[in-house]
Amino acid sequence: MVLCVAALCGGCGDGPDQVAGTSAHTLPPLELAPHLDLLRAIASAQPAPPDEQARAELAELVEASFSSDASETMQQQALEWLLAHERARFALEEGLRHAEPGVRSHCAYQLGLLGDRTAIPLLLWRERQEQGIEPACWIIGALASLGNLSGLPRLATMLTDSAAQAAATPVVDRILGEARRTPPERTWEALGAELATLHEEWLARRRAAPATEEEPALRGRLAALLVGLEEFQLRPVDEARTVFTRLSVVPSDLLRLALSAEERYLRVHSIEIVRELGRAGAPLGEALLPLLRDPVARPYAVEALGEVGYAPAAPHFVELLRGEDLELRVAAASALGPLGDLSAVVPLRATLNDATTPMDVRVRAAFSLACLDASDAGEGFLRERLDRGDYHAPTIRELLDRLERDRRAARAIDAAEPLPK
Amino acid sequence: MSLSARFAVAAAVVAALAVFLRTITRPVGNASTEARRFTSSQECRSCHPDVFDEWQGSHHQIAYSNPEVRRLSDDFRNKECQACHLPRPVSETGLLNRTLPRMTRPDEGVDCLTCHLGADGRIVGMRGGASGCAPVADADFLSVSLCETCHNQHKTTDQWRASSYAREGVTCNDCHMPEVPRGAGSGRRHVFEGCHDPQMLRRAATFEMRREGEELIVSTTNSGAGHNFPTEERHRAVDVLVRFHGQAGAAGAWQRLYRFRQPYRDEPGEDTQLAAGATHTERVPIPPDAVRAQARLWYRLNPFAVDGDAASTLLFERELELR
Repeated sequence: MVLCVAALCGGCGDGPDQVAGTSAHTLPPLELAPHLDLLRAIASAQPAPPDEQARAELAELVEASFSSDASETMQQQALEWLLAHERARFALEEGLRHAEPGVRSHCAYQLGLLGDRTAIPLLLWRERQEQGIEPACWIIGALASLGNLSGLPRLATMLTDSAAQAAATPVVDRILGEARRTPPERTWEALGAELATLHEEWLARRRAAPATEEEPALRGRLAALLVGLEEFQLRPVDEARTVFTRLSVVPSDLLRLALSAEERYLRVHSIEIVRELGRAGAPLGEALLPLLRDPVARPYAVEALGEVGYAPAAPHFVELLRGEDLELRVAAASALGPLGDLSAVVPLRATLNDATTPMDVRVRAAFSLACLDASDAGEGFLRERLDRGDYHAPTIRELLDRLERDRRAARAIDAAEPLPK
Repeated sequence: MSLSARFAVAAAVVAALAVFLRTITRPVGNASTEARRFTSSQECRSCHPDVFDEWQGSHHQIAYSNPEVRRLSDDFRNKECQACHLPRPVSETGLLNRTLPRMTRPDEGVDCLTCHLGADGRIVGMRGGASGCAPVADADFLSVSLCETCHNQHKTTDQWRASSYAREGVTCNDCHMPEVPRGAGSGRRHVFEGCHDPQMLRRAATFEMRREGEELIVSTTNSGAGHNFPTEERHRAVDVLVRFHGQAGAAGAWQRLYRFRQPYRDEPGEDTQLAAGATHTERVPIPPDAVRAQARLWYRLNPFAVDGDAASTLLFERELELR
């Protein structure tokens, strides 16, 4: 009878010291501190832009080096002076915004040759913004020369477009040559497949590690991007996310500072960055876990912990799944699948089959179940929602697309690496 | 009494006791200061069906479903877009601060709770009341600052602050949420008409064409919008087009005289949006054989839209006999 009363009273209210729906005693303490100024100080390691006069001179050198109006002799001389200039990188980076696509392409190419990795964040951002086919190819090529292969899928797509093939080919040849790769045959498909393989290998090598202090300008530039997360406008957030999620080495020390920042947007958006990193963000799982105590950030932390695959979070998620906070329940239901802990199948199935559970939670539980369970109960539930039209169709389609993408990736891994007997 | 009947009675007593305990530990009274926390716009529907019906289908409600937005945000993989298109209540982060995204109720987009849920969990509104959801009157509630959280991401409220509308105290709601009769009194309309409403667009501008000697003068004035025309960036554009008819009666091709638009991010070009109250005039030489001139003002939801497609609205057409 006592048990009956307890069950019926379940959810009567949480004590003031209890973190709703979580085993507060097993979570590490949440220790936040003001880190924005610290990041600003790191960001200040970047060299100041040249003064007005020097900028004008550098712009003139870029113009003379690459503009189609200049003679060949003049171009060679100007390029020599430009590359010998102590602010060459600055001039070439500015040139990435030149009105002439040819100038932008040359600047990108030279930035790759220059070998200064400080240019990587800017190149990543420009690659996202660049609409011109030729400059986009050369930006991707420059990134590859600097060890960043994030642009290869775009380059592979260009090889399927007859209007882009001519511009992409020299860059593709250069990248494959640097990687010492020769496709079995010289067809667009074979070149594209080789790029895809290189990209997969690069993704597998990506890792989170402290930003090296030997490259203070690069570290400063990355810190400046994180500072932008706290601003009112969302544009800097987009910029930071774009850059951080495409880096070869994700600066874990800077992200740890952001994740434990008192400043809420810095904290929340850095969680989003880690979430998007997926398994490459795994070393940051430990830094995410205390955020399950954070009343502002915890739904986002739950999702991110799932995506990075931080296994110690699993028991907390199962508790959150049964909690009262709907956002947390949805986040937990979403995260259990990507987390990959098979012990979650039973509670997920119970959630899915409980008709009194809000549909937001059941839909996410179905997704996670489909991630973990070979039976088609989860996916069947999602398809039924789509057929009946009783839940937000774009969300269902997005979840089904995600399942398909993950399965395709898993099949590719299985095909590449047969399991040992 | 059989054993099973005794169990049934015992269970009923336990259940009644449990319900009683829940009742005394968690008040749910209408006018209670510990009012229940609202969790969905659907809960508002029964008492406010007219407001709910206005909101349903509005661009606030479809903010997370609109195919145009989903395409531009890469199906919201650009997660930060979600902060304004599927927001948690503004009160959670406070006025003039960015909202945070939610994961629930995706079909409700910018919902009732986004604006009406107060920091203490109570419902806020224009007027207070003891009945129903027991709303609390809040001076900040109808302020520009409430809209600014999302609508200044593209500088629209900054444009308003720089305009005569701000000085005269004409706010967002005066145009986008006009007062309408509600029962015996009045309330605010919840359709949030803006650039998807042709009548609203036509109220924003005046468009004139006249002749001065051998030149055609085409003027566009932002005469009705309390912010730039068009406002927002990238997707919105306003085009001025002209064409001449020759003596044989054949119409020439439409030529774009001018485009009002803010370039997107690093896109080259100047911001040519028309500030509130400003006029832009274009002068066109009249070809010697032209007998008639036509001018059109088109509003484009995106800069790639062409005349006549669903993303273009013809706002005005002017004609002038030249001979």
